[in-house]
Amino acid sequence: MDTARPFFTVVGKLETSMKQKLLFSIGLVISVVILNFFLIRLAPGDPAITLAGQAGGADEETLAHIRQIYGLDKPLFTQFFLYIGKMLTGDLGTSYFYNLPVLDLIRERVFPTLLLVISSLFISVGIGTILGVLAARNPRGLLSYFVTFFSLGGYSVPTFWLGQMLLLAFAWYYPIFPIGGMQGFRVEGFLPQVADIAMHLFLPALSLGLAFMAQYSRVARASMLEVLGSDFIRTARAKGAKESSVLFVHGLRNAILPVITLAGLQLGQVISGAVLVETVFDWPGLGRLAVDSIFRRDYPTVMGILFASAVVVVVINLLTDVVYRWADPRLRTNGGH
Amino acid sequence: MSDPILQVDQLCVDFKTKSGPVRVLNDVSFSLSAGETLGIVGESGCGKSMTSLAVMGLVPKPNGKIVSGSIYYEGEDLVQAPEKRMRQIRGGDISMIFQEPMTSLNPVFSVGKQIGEAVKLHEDVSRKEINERVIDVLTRVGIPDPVKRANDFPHQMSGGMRQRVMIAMALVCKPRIIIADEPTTALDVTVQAQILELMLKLQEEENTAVILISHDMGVISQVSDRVLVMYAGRTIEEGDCVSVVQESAHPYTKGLISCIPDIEHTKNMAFSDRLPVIEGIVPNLITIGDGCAFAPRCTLADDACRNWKTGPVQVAGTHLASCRKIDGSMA
Amino acid sequence: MKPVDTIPKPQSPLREAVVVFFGNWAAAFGLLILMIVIFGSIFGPAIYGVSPQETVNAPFLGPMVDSSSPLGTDYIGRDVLAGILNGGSATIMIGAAAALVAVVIGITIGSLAGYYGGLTDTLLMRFTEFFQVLPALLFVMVLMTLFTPSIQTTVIGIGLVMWPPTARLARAEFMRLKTMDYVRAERAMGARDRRIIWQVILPNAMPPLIAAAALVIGVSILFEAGLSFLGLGDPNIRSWGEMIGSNRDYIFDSPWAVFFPGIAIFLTVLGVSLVGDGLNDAMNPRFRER
Repeated sequence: MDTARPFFTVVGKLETSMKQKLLFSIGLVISVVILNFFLIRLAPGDPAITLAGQAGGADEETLAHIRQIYGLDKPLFTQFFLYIGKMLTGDLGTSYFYNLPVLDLIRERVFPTLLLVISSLFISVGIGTILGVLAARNPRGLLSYFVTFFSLGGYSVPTFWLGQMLLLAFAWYYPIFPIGGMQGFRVEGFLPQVADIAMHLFLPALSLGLAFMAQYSRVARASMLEVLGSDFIRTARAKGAKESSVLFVHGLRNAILPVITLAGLQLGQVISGAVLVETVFDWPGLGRLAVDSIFRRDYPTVMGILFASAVVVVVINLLTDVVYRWADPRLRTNGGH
Repeated sequence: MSDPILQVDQLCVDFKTKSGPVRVLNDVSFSLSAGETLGIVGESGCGKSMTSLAVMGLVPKPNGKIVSGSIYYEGEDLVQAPEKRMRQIRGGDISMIFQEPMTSLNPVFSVGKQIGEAVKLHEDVSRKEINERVIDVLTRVGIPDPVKRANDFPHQMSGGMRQRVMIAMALVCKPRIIIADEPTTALDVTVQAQILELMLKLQEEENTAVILISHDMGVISQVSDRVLVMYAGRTIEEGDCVSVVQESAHPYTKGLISCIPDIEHTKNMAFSDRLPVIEGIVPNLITIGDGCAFAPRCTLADDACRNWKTGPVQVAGTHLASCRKIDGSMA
Repeated sequence: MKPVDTIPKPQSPLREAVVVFFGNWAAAFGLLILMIVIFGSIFGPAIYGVSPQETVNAPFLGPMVDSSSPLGTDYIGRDVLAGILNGGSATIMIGAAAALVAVVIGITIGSLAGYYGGLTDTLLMRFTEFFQVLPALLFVMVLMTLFTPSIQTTVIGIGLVMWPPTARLARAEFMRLKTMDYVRAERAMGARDRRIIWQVILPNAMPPLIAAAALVIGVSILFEAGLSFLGLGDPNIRSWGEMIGSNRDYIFDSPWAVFFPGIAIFLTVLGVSLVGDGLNDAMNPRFRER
C-alpha cells in the first residue's frame, strides 16, 4: 500500500517536543498493557484456562494457583491493579509450557530480533535512499524507471515467500549462505563468531528489508527531486561545489528527512514482518517464539511478547526521533541558542 | 577606464520547450570594467537573470543551452571552458548573490560552515584559517557577535541577516566580479538601503566589479556607473548612468524612466490624471520573429522598424542603443 | 491539470477520471492482471476440474513432468494448479472483506475526528496512533488464538489493524471539505450533523478514499497470506498463503509448490496496487507525482 503519499502531508508536522513524545510513548506502552488485560478476559472461556495454556489440560491445582496470583475471583478493578503491579515489577507471567518466567524467555530472544530488525532497517533505508538519490539525478533515466517499477513490485511481494525464494536461490542452489538459524556449531573466537552471525543474518535481513527498501527508494527519489529544485542547491553550485557534493552533501542531507520519518512510522510493520522472516529462517528471536507459543497455547508468553514488541517499537521510534532532530536543525533549537 | 575584465559578445541562449526552441537571449552584448558597477535593468522575463546564469555557466541543464557567442573573462572564453575550470571560477573569481535570502541557504548546515565551504573550495588553507576568514568576513558585512553567529543556522536569522551572509559568502574569496541578482527585492525597504550601502562600501574596499540586476530603475540609477537595458532577451541600450537615465535614446528606456514616480510631478497631478505607463505587454518569445522586439508597443515605430534586424547604434561616446529612430542616425 | 481546490460538484467528474485512468498504462495493465486473476478464480476450477484437496497424482512431481499436472504436485500429490485456481477466491474475498471492514472503521473514525475537531480529534488521533504503532501481525495472531480461527475472525482481525491510514485520509478530507460553502449552506438551513457527515461531505470525500481502499485490499491480501502461512487462518480454507505454509517443510523437494502460489499472490497484489495507484492519480490531482 502506498502510504507514502498521505504521509507526505503528515511528515512536516513532526514538531512535538521530546517531552511530549516521551509521555506519549509511555502512554502507548500502558495502553498495550491495558489491551492485554482486557483481551484475556474477552476471550471465550475461563481466563484461568486461557492463562494456563497447554490446550486446557491443566490440572485443578495449577488453575487454582493461577486464580490466586491473578486474583481472578476478585472484582475487575482489583485484578487490574494487581496486573499493573506485576508488570511494573517486571513479572510478565509464567510460561506453563517452559515452566519459566516469561520475562526470562523474552530476554533470551530479544537480541536476535533486535539484530534482525535493525540490520533490515539499515539495509532498507540505506540502499533505498541511495537508489532514490541516484534515480533523482536523471529523472528520465533508466534507474528512475527502475525505481518506479521496483517500488511497486517490491511492495507487492509477500515477505515470507521472498525469504523462501532467497533461501532456495542462495542457500540451496548456490549455497553461499547457511540455510537457517543464527549461528553455526563450534565456531570459536569473537571475530569468527561475528562473521558467522553476519552470514546467517544476511538473507533474513534482506528479505525483511526489501519491501520497505522499495518504498523508501520511491520516497527518496521524490524528496530528492524536490530538494534539487531548491534555491540553496543553486547557491551551492554558484559557489563552485562539485556536482557530487551538491547531490550527496547538500542535497542528501535534506532529502533524507522524510525517509527517516517514514521509517519511524513503519516500525510496527517491520516487527510484523520479522515474525514471518524468523519463521522462514528459523531465526531464534521473539517472532519465532510467538508463533511457537501460539500453537502451544502458551498465552502468557504470547501476551508478553506483544508487550515486549510494543516496547521495542516505542524505543526504536524514540531513537528515530532523536536521529531526526539531530538531522534537521530546524527542530532542534526553539529560537536561538 | 581600464580594459574590460568581462566582455560578452552576441550571446545567444536557447531553451527547449514543448513548442520548440525559444531564444531567451538574443545577441546579448556588453562589457564590464574592473571596479565598475554595471546595472542591468528590465522587466521580468527580459533575460537579465539568464544573462548572469550564462556568465556563471549555470544555465539550467536539460533544457537550456548557450548556442553561440562568447563570454570573455580576462581574455578567456567561458563558453568554451571545461566544467572543472568553471567550478574554479564560480565563487572564486566571479560570485553571485541571489534574490531570495530566505531559501538560498541550506537549512541543515550552519552559516559558518557554508561560508567556510566557499573558502575550502577555492583555497588551500588550514581549518583554523578558514574559521578566521569566516569570522572576518562576517564582521565586514556587519553581523554583530560573529563568533557566535557563525554557528547559527539560517532559520535563526532574519531575512536581512541572511542576505548579509549571502554577501559574505560571495565576498570571502575576494572575487573580481560579483553578480547581484535582485539582492534587495525580497527585503524590507529600510533593510534594502542598508544592504545596498554595504555592497557599495565593500566594492570600494576591494575594487570589485559589480553587476547589479534589478527591475527597479530607481535603485539602478542611484547605484550604477553604467547601465544596460534589456528587453525580450535583447540588449537595447548601454551607456554610462547619467547618459542613459537623463538622455535616454531608446523609446523603451524613455518609457521606463518616465515610470519612476516623481513626487513633484505627482503632487501637481489632478485626480483624474493617470501615472505614465508603457502601453501593451511583453511579447511572447516564441512568436516574436526577427525585427525590433519593441516595435509593437513603440509610439515611433513604423513598418520598416518591424523588419529591422536590430543592432547597436551609437548615440554619443560609449552610449549605444538599438533603435533606428535615434536623432541623427539612419539605419 | 485541474486546478487544485476546485469546489467539487456532488457528482464526481467520472468521465475525466476514467480517461486519466486508462491513459495510465500501468493502471490499465494492473486492471488486466486483475481481470485475469478474477476470471481464473471464478471459472478456473470448473474448467480445469481437478480437485485441490485430494491426492490426484504422484507426489513431488515437477512442473510439466506429467502433463496432467502442469504445475506439478506437492508432497501428498495434490495438484498445484488446482490449488492456485481454487485458492484465489478465498484469498481475494478475505482480502476484500477485511479491507471493507478496515475502510468502514477508518471512515467512521476519520470523519468524526475531521468534522468535530478539537478534543474529539485529539482523542481519536491518539487512538489511531496507538493502532499504528502496535505490531499488526502480532496483535492479530493474539486475536486469532484467543478466539478460534475462522473466516470471520480473520476478516475482523485484519480489518482491526488496517484502518489507521484510511482514518487519517478520511480525517484530512473531512477537515478540508467542512469549510466548503455548500456545507455552510447546509448548516445554515439547519441540517443535523449526521446528515452533513454522511450525505453531504462523504460523497465528495469518496474519490481519494476509493483509491486508498483499493490499496488496502492489496495489503489485506498480503496480511491474510501471512496469517495462513503461519497456520493461523481458517483451517478449512486452502488459500494461497496456506499452500505456501503447508509446503514449507518440503521446499527443497518441491519448490514449485511454494513458488507458484507466491507468484499468484504477487501478481494479484501488484494488479490491485497498480489499479489503486491509477485510481489515486485519476481522482486526486493533488497527489500527482511529477
